[in-house]
Amino acid sequence: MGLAIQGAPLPERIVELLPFGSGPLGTAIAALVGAAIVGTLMMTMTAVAGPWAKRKVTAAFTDRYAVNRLGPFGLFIIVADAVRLLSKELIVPDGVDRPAWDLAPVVLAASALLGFAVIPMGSGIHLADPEVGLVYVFAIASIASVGLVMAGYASNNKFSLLGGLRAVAQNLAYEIPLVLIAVSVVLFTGSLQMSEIVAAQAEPLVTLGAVSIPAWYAFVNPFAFVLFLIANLMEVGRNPFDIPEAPTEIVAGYQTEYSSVYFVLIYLGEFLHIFLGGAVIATLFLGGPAGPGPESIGLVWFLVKIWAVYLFTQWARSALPRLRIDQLIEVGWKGMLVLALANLVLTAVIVGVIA
Amino acid sequence: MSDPWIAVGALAFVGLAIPVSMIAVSSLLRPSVPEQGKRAVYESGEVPTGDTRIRFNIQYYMVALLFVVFDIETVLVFPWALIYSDAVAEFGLVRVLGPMLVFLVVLVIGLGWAWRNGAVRWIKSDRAEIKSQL
Repeated sequence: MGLAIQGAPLPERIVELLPFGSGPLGTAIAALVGAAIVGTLMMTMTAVAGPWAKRKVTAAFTDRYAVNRLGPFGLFIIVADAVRLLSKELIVPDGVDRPAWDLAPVVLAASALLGFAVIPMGSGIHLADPEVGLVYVFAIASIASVGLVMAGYASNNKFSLLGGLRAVAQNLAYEIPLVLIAVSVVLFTGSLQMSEIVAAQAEPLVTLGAVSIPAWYAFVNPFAFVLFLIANLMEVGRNPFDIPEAPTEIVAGYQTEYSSVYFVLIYLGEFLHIFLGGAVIATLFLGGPAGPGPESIGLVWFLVKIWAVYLFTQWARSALPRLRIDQLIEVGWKGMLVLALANLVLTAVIVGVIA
Repeated sequence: MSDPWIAVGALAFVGLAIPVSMIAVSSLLRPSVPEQGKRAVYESGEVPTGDTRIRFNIQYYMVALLFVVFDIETVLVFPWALIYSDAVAEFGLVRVLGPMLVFLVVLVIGLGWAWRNGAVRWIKSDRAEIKSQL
């Protein structure tokens, strides 16, 4: 049973380390400690990505240096920016809908973090492993749309309203293709449980001499992988799909009227969402925490994969022009949806013929 | 095996605690000088005109109806995909894939109908029609 304990969710292993036993109290404390570990990890990633990596990557694309004064590579800018942004005055505009306007940033940040509960991050960091893991991730990721509409409608600002309406249109357009592509992976795995999906990708696909290529679904079904990458860009709202914000058209969309800590929370939610998208891609298509070396360094490989997806979004952000909103609707409903359905049927035929 | 949803609930608690504590810290740090001009909503520096609570064209929201249809489709597809491999092994490809294909074709015909009627378009007006023909 050594392997089973290795794969056990994080709280169960914390129960054994803590002196509170496995009663209700011990279980609750262990779950909270596990959640705090996962939360801290993702907050750290976001802190590095938001104030520092984003600037550095954009600067590299536009041939500049960006932050380089504070600490090594300018890394201490993260602390400076956190203090700076939190100590800004919170300006409450006239006529905002108070409860909704205040709740929207919290909804955005909390929902993005909640999605990480079922992601297997390797090295035993896997908070929960319910049987409906995949559906849970998509359900949680969709809550962000509610936050965007709240922010857009409650701000009493025309730009915000336009941004909120655009966010709704965009979410309607990408959600179905995104889920249908994930279903095509489920056809292979026959399970929605995240640990099962990762385990199904552990087998070698082809062995060429000493090198064996694992059966990651990015290699098994590259068509679905590319479609999912595009749908994920739509989901996280980065170029060429950053239409709800569109700084050159509608100022900042739904976040126009937010300042101080609320601004930080909205940005936090966005970056967590990018990493959540990366985590779903890593789990569904890139073997989760799998990689060369012992199983205990799985977390390193997992972080490499989600950062790779993050860098991809930043690359797209710097390199691609934005679509118009009507073009996005066409891409979503006439392009992505049809391709996703075709992918689903093709995958079903292939899996059916092999099985 | 303890219930995984306990851990999910714990993360929900942490996920709420982090933003709330950030708001609390910020409220201790930040100044508050609510002057009149500051609180005007942003309209590119102009004096704000009119209300935001306006009526807007609901035409596009035909798409929302279409979305509900396809969303229910995904709910039906998930259990089908889950048992797909086992079912094919037991009942054969045609009996498992056939009904789902019929279901998907009906949906695609519906999508084609909406497509032709211009429901999956951002705006539908005479001006937009003329512009798209140019």
